Order: sequence, then C-alpha cells, then structure tokens
Amino acid sequence: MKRRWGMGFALAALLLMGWQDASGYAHFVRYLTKNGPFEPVLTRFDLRSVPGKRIPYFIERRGPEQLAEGDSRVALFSQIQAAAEVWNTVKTSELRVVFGGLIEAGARMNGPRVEIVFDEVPPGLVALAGPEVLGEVTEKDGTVFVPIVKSLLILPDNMADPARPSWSERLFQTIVHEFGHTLGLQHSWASGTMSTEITRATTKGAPLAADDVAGISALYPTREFVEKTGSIAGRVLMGGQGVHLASVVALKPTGEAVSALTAPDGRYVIRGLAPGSYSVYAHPLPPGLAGEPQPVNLDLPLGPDGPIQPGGAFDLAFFPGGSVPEHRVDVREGETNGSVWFSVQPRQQVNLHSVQTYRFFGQQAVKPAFLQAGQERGSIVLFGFGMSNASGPVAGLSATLFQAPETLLAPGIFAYAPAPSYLQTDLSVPEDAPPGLRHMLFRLNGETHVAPGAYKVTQAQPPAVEVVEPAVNGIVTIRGKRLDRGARVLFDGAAGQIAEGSAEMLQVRPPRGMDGHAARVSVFDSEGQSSAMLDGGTAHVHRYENGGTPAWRVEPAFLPAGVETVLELTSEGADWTPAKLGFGTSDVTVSKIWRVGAHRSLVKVAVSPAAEAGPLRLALADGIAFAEAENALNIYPPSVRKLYVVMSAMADTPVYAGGMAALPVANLTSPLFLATTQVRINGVAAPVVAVNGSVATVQIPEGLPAGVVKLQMTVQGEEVLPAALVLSLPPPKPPVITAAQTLMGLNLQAGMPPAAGEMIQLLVTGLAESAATEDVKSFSGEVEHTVILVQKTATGHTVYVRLSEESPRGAAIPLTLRVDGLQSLPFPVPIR
Amino acid sequence: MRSLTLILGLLAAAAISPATTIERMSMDEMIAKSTRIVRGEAVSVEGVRRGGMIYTDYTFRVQETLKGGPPETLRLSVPGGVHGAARQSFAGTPALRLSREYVVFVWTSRSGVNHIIGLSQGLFTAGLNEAGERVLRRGPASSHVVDKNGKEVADSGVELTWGELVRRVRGAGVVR
Repeated sequence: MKRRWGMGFALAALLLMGWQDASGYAHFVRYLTKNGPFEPVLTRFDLRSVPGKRIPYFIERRGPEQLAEGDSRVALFSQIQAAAEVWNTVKTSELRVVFGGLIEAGARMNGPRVEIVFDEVPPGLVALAGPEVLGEVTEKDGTVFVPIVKSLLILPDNMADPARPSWSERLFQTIVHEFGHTLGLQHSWASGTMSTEITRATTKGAPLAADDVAGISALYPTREFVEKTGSIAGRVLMGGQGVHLASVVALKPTGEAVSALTAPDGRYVIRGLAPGSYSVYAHPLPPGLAGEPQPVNLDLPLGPDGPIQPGGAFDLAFFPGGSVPEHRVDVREGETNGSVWFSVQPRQQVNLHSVQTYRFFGQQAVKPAFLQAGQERGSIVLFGFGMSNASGPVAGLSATLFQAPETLLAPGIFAYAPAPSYLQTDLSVPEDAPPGLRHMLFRLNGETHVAPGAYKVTQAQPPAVEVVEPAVNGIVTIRGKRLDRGARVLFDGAAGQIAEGSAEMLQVRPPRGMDGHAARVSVFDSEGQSSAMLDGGTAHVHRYENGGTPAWRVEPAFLPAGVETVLELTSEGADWTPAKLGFGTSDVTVSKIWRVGAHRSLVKVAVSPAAEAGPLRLALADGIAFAEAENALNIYPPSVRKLYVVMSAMADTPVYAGGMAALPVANLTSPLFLATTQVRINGVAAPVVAVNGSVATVQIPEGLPAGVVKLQMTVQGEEVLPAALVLSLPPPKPPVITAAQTLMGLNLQAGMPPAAGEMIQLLVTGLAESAATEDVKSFSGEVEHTVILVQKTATGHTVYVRLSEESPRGAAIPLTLRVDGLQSLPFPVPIR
Repeated sequence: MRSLTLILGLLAAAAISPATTIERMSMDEMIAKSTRIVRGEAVSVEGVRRGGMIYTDYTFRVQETLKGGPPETLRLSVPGGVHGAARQSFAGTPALRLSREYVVFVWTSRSGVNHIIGLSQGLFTAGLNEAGERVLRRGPASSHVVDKNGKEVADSGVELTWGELVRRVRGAGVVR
C-alpha cells in the first residue's frame, strides 16, 4: 500500500512505526520535527515500484560534442556502463541499475530512472549529479521515505580535456562518484568513492570502499545486510548539547573506515560493520573549500524551516575520550552497540583537514599512496590543509601511523624537495605486513586529524604491460610483468576473458567491439592496482577488425501499454547476442535476454500502463560494441487491448517438461473456455487440461530440455502476446518395483513364498544410473530388509534383498524401496 | 625528473562537491573565461525547468560591469532548485540572497544561459573592509590551488579588493 502524506500525518505515523531506514550515513535527509526526535527521512528510489528492483539508466545518444584526442563516444559509453555496474557489485544492496538504452535530450518517460546527459556546463565544472523528488514524504509497506522520480548525471559537452579522457582513472571515478549521488548518496569523510577526490582512497580497480557499501546498503538493504552486519550507535555532545553533522568513523588498523553523520541532536548510527572490534572517533566536518558549498561540503539536511546548519567545530575525539586511539568497540552481527557516546571540546575552527597522499611509480603519480610489503623505504608525498607553508611543514606538525605494522622513518614528516610546500614521509614496510589500507594521524597545536586510508600496503607492484599483440584467431596476447595476480583485463570499460595466463603473458579474448575501434587495454590486479598506474593507460591499444554490426529485428514490433511479453530478437549479419539492451524509455523494462539459437534471442519485457504511444529505438550493447535499430518497437495508443500472459505472477512457480503450468491471462473480456484455449510451446501443441476464470493449466510436453521456451496461446481465436517459460529439470521420481523374483528369475507367487531371511531380487525402474547399494533401502512397514547389491541392467536395475528375519509374514506383504528420500509404491511380496 | 609539474598536475585533479565535480580555476583563468564580470544584486528568484533540468534563475540587477556589455539586468541560472512540486538537488551549487551585493563571473553558454563560472568559484560577496575599500570575499580556499597544467596558483580570490580586481582585469586586456 502506498500513501502520500502531509507533514503532520507523516510525522504521527513515523512516531508510531519507527524508521526502518534510519541511518547516519550521508544521504539526502529530511527531518520532520524542529525539536526532535530527529529521525532521518531518506531520499531514495522506490524499488518496489520497478520490476526486479532494477532502476534503468539512459545515456544521451549523441554523446559529448568534443572528446579528447583518440577518444570516442563508444569508449566513453563503455566506461559509463562500467561505472554503473560498480554499484551492482554490492551484495548487501537490493538496488540494481540496468542499461535502459539511448535517449534524445528531453525524452519523455514516466518511471524512475537515471539519465546521463551531455550539456553546456560552465568552465570549472566537470560533472554534476543529483536526484529529483516531488517533495512528498511517502509511506509504502511500512517504510517512510522521499521517492526519487529521476536522477540526472550531467557530463560536459566538451570532454576534450586531455587530463580526463574516457580511459582515465579520474573520469571513471568521477562517474562512479556521481552515480552514487544519483542513487541517493551524499558525501562522506571516510576515504570511499563518496569522499572528495582529495581524500578518496579508491581506485578504478577497487572503486568502492566499505563506507560506500554501507551507505548504499543502508538505503536499499538486503536481509543479509540487516542480519550479518552490526552497528555502532551513540551521541556526540558538546557542553551537553548534541552536535549536528559531526562525522563519526569506525575503523580497524588494516581495514577500511565506515562513517556516519550525526542528527541535529547529536545521535548517530554507523551501520554495515563487519563483526569485530573497532576504534571509533568523532570529528567535525571541515569547511568547504573554494568552489565547494558552505559551510560544509554537503547538501544540508532539511528541517521544517529549511536547511539545518552544522554544529560548531570541536577537537577530534576517540571513544571514550582523548585524541589517542586506546579503546576498541565490539560489534556483533545483527546487533547494535549503542553505548558509544562522545563528549567533545569546542575549538574555534578546523585547521587540519583534507589530506591527500601520493606515491610515484616512475614518472606516474598515483593516489592513494601504494607501498609494497617488504619495501625498506617507501615514500609518500602528501598535502593537507593547514599543514605546510612555502618552505615545508608548519612548525610543530607531527605524523604518526594508526596502529600499523609499518615504521615511520626519521625525520618523520618533512618538505618534499621538488615542491617544498608539499610534504613527504618515508616508511619501512615489513615483509609480512598484511595487505590493506592504513591510516595516519596528524597533530599540530593540540589539534588532531585522522587521514583514513592514507596509504595502502600491497603484496607487489601493479601489473606492467609491455606489449599488446594484434589478435590471432580472436585471441589477444599481452606480454608484461606481474600479469597473473588476480588479473582482470579491461578493453576500455569492458572485461576480456582470460584464456590462459602466466606472470609474463596473458591470452585474452577481448569483449565484443566495433569494427575499427581502438580500445585502451589495462590489466588490473586483485589489490586495486592497474597497469595504468605505470603507463598512464594510454600506451596499449587493441584495434578491432571484426566485420560489421548486424541489423536487428524485433517481433512483435507493436505492443500496447500495460502488458508483459517476450520479444523475439533476430540479427542479420554478424551473430551476436546482446548482453544488454533497452528501448530508451523507463516505460519498457527488459528483465531478461536469452540466446535461443544462432541470430536469435528472446527478450522478456514489460510495458508500463503509462507508456506513451509511439516508436522506440532499440539500443543493444555487448562488451564495448553498440548497435541501434530505429523504430524497432512501437507502442500502440492506450485504446488498443491485447491479451497477455502475466509472467510476473508465475515467477516463483517451477515448471518442467511433463509437468503442469498455470498461465494467468490478462485483459480477457470473458472467462477462458477449455475448448477455445490453445497453447503451443516451442511450436508444439500443449494440451490445456483445465481452465479456471482467467487461468489456463497446460501440460508441458515431455522431452523439452531445461531452459527457456517460447509460449504461444490463442483464446477464442485471438492471439495472446507471446510469453516465455523457463523449464526446470523435472523433479526426481521415486523408483518403481516392477517385479519381485527368486534368484532364479521366477516371479514370487503366494504358493511358493520365500522365507524370512532368504534373498530375493527386485526388478526396478527409475533409479539413477549411478545408484549405489548403500543408498538404497528396503522396508516392509517399520522392518528394514537388507539390500545386498544394486546392479544396473539393460532395462533398469536389479536390487538383491535379504528379507529380514523380523519381517511380517503373509501372502502379500508390502515391500518398498527408498532412495534419496523418495519411496516406491508398495509391491506385494509373499513371505513365509 | 619526476617534477613539480607532475605532482601539481595530479593535484590539479578535480575537487568534488556533493553532486558536483569541479576543477579549480585561478582568478586569471576566471577573468579570461568569463563572458561578463559584474557587480550587483539579485532582485528576484524563480525555479524554471529547461529540458530535464531544474534551474534556480536569479534576476540580477547589474550596478557595475568589469567585463562584457549590457544588459543591465541579467538572468543568472544556477543548477537545481524547486519547480512546482519537483525539487532537484545538485549540492555544491550556490544560493544567492536577495538584495545582497555580489560580484559574479558569468559564463554565457551558446544557448544564451548565464551561468556562474566554476559553479560557486565565480561568486563573491561584496562588502567593505576596515579601510573602507570594497572587497570581494569567497569561502576558504586551500592555500594551494593549481591549474590543470600543474601551474600553482595563489588563490588570491579569498579576499580581493575591487581595485585589485579592476587592475587584474585591465591587465588581462578585457576591461570594459
């Protein structure tokens, strides 16, 4: 049930039902009260309103007007798709984003979606993104939220900046970050992808941090998120008053940080923590830098009177107090540790913040700083607000490691010689240092700043690509170093399939690409590093030579609004099955693509009742290839009615060859009749065995293999829109005893019954080929006989059974076989 | 040599506001890339929708122009805002207060929409300092701002006198 609320009713209901989504992560937040209680109402997509909890995203078809040299629209689109996919990797979030096709500017559609458009943006602006809401607090199925009707991600028309080509880490991470905003995430200060680029410790190879996972999962939680992670909660107080928008961070010495922001009364909840023990600290948000919003880099929570300002600055404090991490807080799965309160001391302003760290690989500067286990002296170059002047560190500045196994070498923190206003620290990394992120503390004049994720320890340097050889028989050979460390090879934004590999050589089948397209090739390891950290990502290219793209046809090509059906997609020319396709509108959702033969796929679609009439363009994507078909599908005016099978109502019902399927039919004007309802499955007539109102029960023909089949139906001579059924393997059947015999092969007869304790043989069908003697049991009532041997025969199996001495006696004692929990029908056996 | 330029080039990476990614611009860059530099005040505000996007449009009454020409009133568009029941959030976008004096570096798109350059980088409040000089103020900046070529820029835009701005605009040869 869905309701839209006035503020008063919404608040009353909230107080009664509680806030299922209450979270302290930096989301777009509203509070419905002036004076508390302050429970956040979050802005998010309503996943229950979209099929499969999948939010489509659309890319403006024309792409940017200008691109960097050597760049292309196809390459950019592949990176956008890859950036979107990043958010689908979060297992504890229900949200999935799916490619919905290409759109023209100003395309009209109704469903919730993300639109990626290219627009004139002023100089100095690289990208912007955000949600659009209708300003209504909504209650649906027990949760209260503000539903996003659409989100925009705007990239500039001019993307010619050589520092930000499509293959760059910088642009990729920007798009991942902006995508996060479209889904309902704001900033955090824990070095995840939703941190600023200054403090971010993520990479293209490891684009999400625990903080991002917690943030998106808190918005769209799965049951696993609720049950398998724990929370830390408490309050940040200053002079007895709650501090609004303090950031509270939980972290382990070698793990990623997870954070939350406080409500106006200082309360917070850090959700999504893996069980374990954590150091927890509270810190004030730094002031927005030039070009950032003021007073802090957030879209401030809205209260009844407008934006609610952050609380004042204070000294960073570790729980339970002080600037040194001495105490740990335990977290258990499914539980909240709610006793983590802070009492903080005011300070005039935040002076130390926004630390960024770098490491050089040859001529390439990389962030965050990567150091390798066993490195005797690894250098980190850094810059932080308030830490340096033109000649080096500000007097009194100190740096320490956060409970790390590494050693900070003398003289600690000092001027970076090539640019003395930047700073340097050198570290010694033990051979056995565990891989992962590390954190640093900086202190100056009594102020403490924690830089989570200041550097990352890895087991080896990034993979190095030396040469990418032209494809031979569709396989590209890559030569280099350290290529075998959990390698993933990207061609622009799509991964190739590694056929064979060693440290020096990889043989890779590239993803599908457009003929003539030159794709940038990078190799990624499992520690978030990539060959682009060594070569800048521009050095190695694979050029596709694979013929043209096919022409596409969709059948049926006309659909009314408000139906579900399966489209048959055929290609002429090259034979490729698209991994993704869309019709450029959120009103037609694609939930499944099945390849059913050469040049032929089935596509399960649902058309919204609100879909607008008119032609739709089909966009297909596979790897880094794109194809389009104009007017591939047309939506009828609303007056047109078509019968269709309601596949969504059948989703959880397993069907199999030889079994029955119940087919609910919609848009009928009269009940179904047995005589006038016909069904064909994969072209084979399937008997309709019963009808009941709008539901026809059909028997699936025997012999159809497991997998998808196409279902066609006519009702009183009218064609029903095609549907798809996914056949499961038939359920196992119990064995059947066909005869009980003496060991000589004579059927047992009442006149010559075997005695208890004698051996007989049973002829059996329906046992698995591999049935083993110990798996088969034989019973007469509660009495178990002994199965001596199970032997395969030409027609089934022979089961040799020694009748129990305890067996009941009589002319027709029921005897059964049991195997894997299945029991045969009783077979009467004479026993004396 | 892994040079200053290299690291500065990297540091020139965008700073990211919530919902926006900006590239820091120096004062000279903003002077060069702006189509108008004006001093004045916002006198009215309304939310408008252009295509799929909502803008907050300010009617800005110009009191003085340093770069560019008329008109004396311009419509200044800031991404995001409220239009009817719809609200679009692009955090990081500035909000102008009515009747407050600002200096704005304006960039006019080909379609004729007037934007603040660099989102909020090109928006300064105007006021008087202790010496009675008119000054431009903007939020706190990192003391190290670099352009995308790695050139370090002293971001003197944090507080700048009107006279100094006039001199710099004249120096750029674009004063009206």
